[in-house]
Amino acid sequence: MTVDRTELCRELSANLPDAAVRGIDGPVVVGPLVRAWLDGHDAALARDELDALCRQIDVRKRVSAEYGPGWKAVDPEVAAPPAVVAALVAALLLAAQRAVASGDGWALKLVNSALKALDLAPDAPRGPALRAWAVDLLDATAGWGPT
Amino acid sequence: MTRELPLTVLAWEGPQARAYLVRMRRAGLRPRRILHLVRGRFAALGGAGDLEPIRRVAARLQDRSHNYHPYAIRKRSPALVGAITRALEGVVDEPAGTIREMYDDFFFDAYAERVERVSMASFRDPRVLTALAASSGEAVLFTGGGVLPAPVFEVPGITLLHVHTGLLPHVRGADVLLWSLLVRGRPGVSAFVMARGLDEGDILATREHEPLAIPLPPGDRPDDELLYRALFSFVDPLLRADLLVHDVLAPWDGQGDLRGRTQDLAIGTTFHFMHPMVRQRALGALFPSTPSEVPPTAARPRSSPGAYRRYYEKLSVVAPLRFAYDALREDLSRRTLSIRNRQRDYGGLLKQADRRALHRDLNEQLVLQAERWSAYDYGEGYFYQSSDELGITGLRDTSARIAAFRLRQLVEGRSVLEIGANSGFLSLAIAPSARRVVAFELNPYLVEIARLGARYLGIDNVDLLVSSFEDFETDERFDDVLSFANHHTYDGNTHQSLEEYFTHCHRLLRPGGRLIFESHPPVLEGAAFGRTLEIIERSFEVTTSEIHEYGTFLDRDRRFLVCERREEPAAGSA
Repeated sequence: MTVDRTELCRELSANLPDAAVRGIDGPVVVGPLVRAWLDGHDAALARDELDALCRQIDVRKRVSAEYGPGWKAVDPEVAAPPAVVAALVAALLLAAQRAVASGDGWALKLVNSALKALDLAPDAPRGPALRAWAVDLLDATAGWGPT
Repeated sequence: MTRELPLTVLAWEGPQARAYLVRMRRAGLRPRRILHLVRGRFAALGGAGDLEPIRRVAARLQDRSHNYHPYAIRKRSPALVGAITRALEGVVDEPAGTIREMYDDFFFDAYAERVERVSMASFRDPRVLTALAASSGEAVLFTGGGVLPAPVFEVPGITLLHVHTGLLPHVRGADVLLWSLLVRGRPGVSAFVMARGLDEGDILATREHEPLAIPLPPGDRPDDELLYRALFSFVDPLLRADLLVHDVLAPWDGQGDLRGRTQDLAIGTTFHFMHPMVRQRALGALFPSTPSEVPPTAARPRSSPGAYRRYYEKLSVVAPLRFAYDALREDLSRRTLSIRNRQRDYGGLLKQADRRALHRDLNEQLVLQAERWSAYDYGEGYFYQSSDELGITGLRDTSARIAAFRLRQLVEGRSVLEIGANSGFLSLAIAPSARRVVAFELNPYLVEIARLGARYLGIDNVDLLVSSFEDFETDERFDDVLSFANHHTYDGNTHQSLEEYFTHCHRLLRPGGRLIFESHPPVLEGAAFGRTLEIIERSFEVTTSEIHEYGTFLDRDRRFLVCERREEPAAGSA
């Protein structure tokens, strides 16, 4: 595809607060975490953290602005704003794009969660473009088309 | 000769428990005991006395509720059940006979000497835990889904067995049969000893089948929801039961514990329930059908726009009742919805009588179309497109479509060609923004409807023409070509290749012009869209690719592209 998705990631990342340092197993603030991923500070896009976020989206059916240690809900639990959800979706798709060739279903799992996150946040900025990106990856991962 | 095993079946009413018991009986095996769980509101029927006769009645009611889908599918979609049964021949033993036995007069008491009905609120219920404790020293076969709570694992002396339709350790979690089809291209099944973590226990047996496809009868593709229900009513339980009986229970002599091999938990992925778009891909792979097979066998409509003539000659308060009656008589959801739309629009007409003559003339075109236009889907007496300006509700929401695509802004001050414009309502709606619009359509009755609309609205910068795309030629070159869901048809009315189609689009654009494109819905095109996109990119650079969620069920999930014309089509174009 010739659509510029790097620019899309940059645009969504620019809406988020700056990356903040956090300790291992400390609380998680989703906005800065996602910004770090999109800005390439964490090139690996840590699988465990992505997995935990997929679980929040798929099982708890919500994305919070912040989580306590061990991805526990904080009290009061505040929903992540649409801009953060959109950036999180971009991060999931970026990770999926890098994992398409792995063949273990990880990319599909990320795309699945990205689509569900978009359903949770119908007002997410650039939602239609993110949805199309997700479907491109879905088709490519299912072996049905080019990315 | 029947062999009794030191096994308790924890029977959670539903296809799984039934498939296990039926397959065991057919293999000459019998559990020592069945704990038939009577749950929730059904258990409450037992009241304080919790009496066996009442539990039996409650179990019967539970059966009708929990097995609602398999019963309904067998009754209403026998062709689907037949297709599934045929596909499973050679994959599992006796699929047809097993399914029959599962749902025709099944009664748990026929499958073990001891069948105890246990009322329960949840698996933490002391009545369940007490009943399980009586199985100490035995294996207990779980027949439900999800994770069991800790108190069940604390019952002393029992070994909990479970069968899972994914190849462990690779595929864990929910919807795993469908995930297996997408990720590994084939169904897998695993039997394991349950541990507290999801699908994490020691593996007793695994099997990965050859790729499975269940071709659907032409012209009768059920929706994804029904296919999904059918999958879990018939396919999933039979795959599980076959592995359980062949690879775990039949080889087991009943002496000593069932022992498995330790799972490598460092590999594999835990999946969650599928998003409908992902599920559609998996179901598409499992239940293949070709788009061209879908329409031709659809039954003719039971209602006819000719019956409505008199209601447009003279407005009548009786007409909405007639529409409501006709909507009920139709058996396709699309037609039912269309007639309800007409009922709604007629209600608007009663309040705005000055549109009566317009609607009378439009209905007349629908009558002619239904009588004379044989091609599927363009002549069934309904409006496909909506027009707020004309007071028409269609199957697709034109205003929402235009707003989602920002179409008025895109075409502002530009010359536009719309290919296959249907009733032209979209062209009429964008005409005030565009400099000029040319719209053509193969079906002359739809073009006449568009012309009536243009006249009514006083729009004079739209040319509405009858033509196929193959025959459409002009010296004019346009700023934008709109190709909305018509780059191929599923009724065989076009005879050009995709390459020819997009090369023709390229030729109709001025240098620097744009192709503005909408795909067909994924159910018709999903698997083929990758190829369509490849062909588009030979002649165009895709600058916008979006999927908007708006409007009606027919609007959803379609791809919207804005594509800039390349100077020359790349090699490989027609």
